[in-house]
Amino acid sequence: MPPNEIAETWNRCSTRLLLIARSIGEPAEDAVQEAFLRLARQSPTPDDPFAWLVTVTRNQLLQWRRSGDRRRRRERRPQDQVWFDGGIRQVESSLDARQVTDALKQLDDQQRQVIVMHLWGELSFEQIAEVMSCSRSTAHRTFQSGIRIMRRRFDATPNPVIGNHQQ
Amino acid sequence: MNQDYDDMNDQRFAERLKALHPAGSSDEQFSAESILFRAGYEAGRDDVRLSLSTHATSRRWMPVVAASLLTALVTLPTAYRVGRQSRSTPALAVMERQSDPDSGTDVARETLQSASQGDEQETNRRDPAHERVSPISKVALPSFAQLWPAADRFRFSRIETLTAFHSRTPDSIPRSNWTALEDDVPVPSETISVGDLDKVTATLGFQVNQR
Repeated sequence: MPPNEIAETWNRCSTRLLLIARSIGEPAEDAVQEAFLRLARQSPTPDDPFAWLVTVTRNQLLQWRRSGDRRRRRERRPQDQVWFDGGIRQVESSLDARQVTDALKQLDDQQRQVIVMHLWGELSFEQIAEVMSCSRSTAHRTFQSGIRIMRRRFDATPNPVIGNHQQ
Repeated sequence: MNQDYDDMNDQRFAERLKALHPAGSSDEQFSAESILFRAGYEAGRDDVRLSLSTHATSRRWMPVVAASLLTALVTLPTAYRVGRQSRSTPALAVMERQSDPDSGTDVARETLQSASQGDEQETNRRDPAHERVSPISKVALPSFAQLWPAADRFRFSRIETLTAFHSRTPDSIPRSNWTALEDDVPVPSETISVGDLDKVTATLGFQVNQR
């Protein structure tokens, strides 16, 4: 892929891809960079670069997790990162970024990944099913169950304070 | 209602979640410039490595193949000729005749040993005392004798030539009576008289070819 296209893809996709990688596991940043490096070497260019990047990133993280590679580096990284920006977006959402991050971390792995891929990655359930090697209906059910769990958790919290944990 | 949701509350909550913006990385290395730099570096490294490995591969096996072919071409005729001659020599015939499924290798090795110890074993063959003493000669001499049946091949065997003076003492060796005077310059062709030559040849039993 030409450098200008890589730069454009990076500007358009890197933040969303990093969030998806974080929902899968650490080291998310290493996996995202590795995926972009592979995209630079990829010929021909994939039809849907973002879906391709998500698949490569997820496979890379799962491979590192299986092999135990980069464990030391992963352990060095701070585990209390907030996955979302504060500020205006947070006001519009009326949800606290840290609480959302914590709620996502408490979900099942599959539910967390499907929710992040669908809401912030803007992947369709067909694409998610392809990435996660499951059926579309399974991906859909997983998304619905995860959203319901999160909503009930936030409904139980009477006043999710805005701005308490702004970065 | 969006078909992705069974419950309006879930849909509204999902829309609130979606309004959150994913955070970037605080790592300075997490940037497009860093990716492009690493991609360019790896592309250049792979290019150099590929070219080096290609050259190294061709440099590694091409000369070996060329040298092997050249060696085969040069040595094949000679090897073929030597092989043909070896097949026709009495040595191989004896080896084949003495080859035994059980001890054929030993017989062949002993035959080769006897051939390599030519003069020594020729001496043993002519000296009964050596034949009694040497265990090698007991095994090797019969085959060696077949390798050297050549009374018709050589006028004098090597052993006869070497032992021609063995029974002689310095005094018994015939000498010339011819002496050189100071005013008589020696001429190479006249240093031995005809009589002296006859005396020597008669004493030693040599034959002189007349020109």
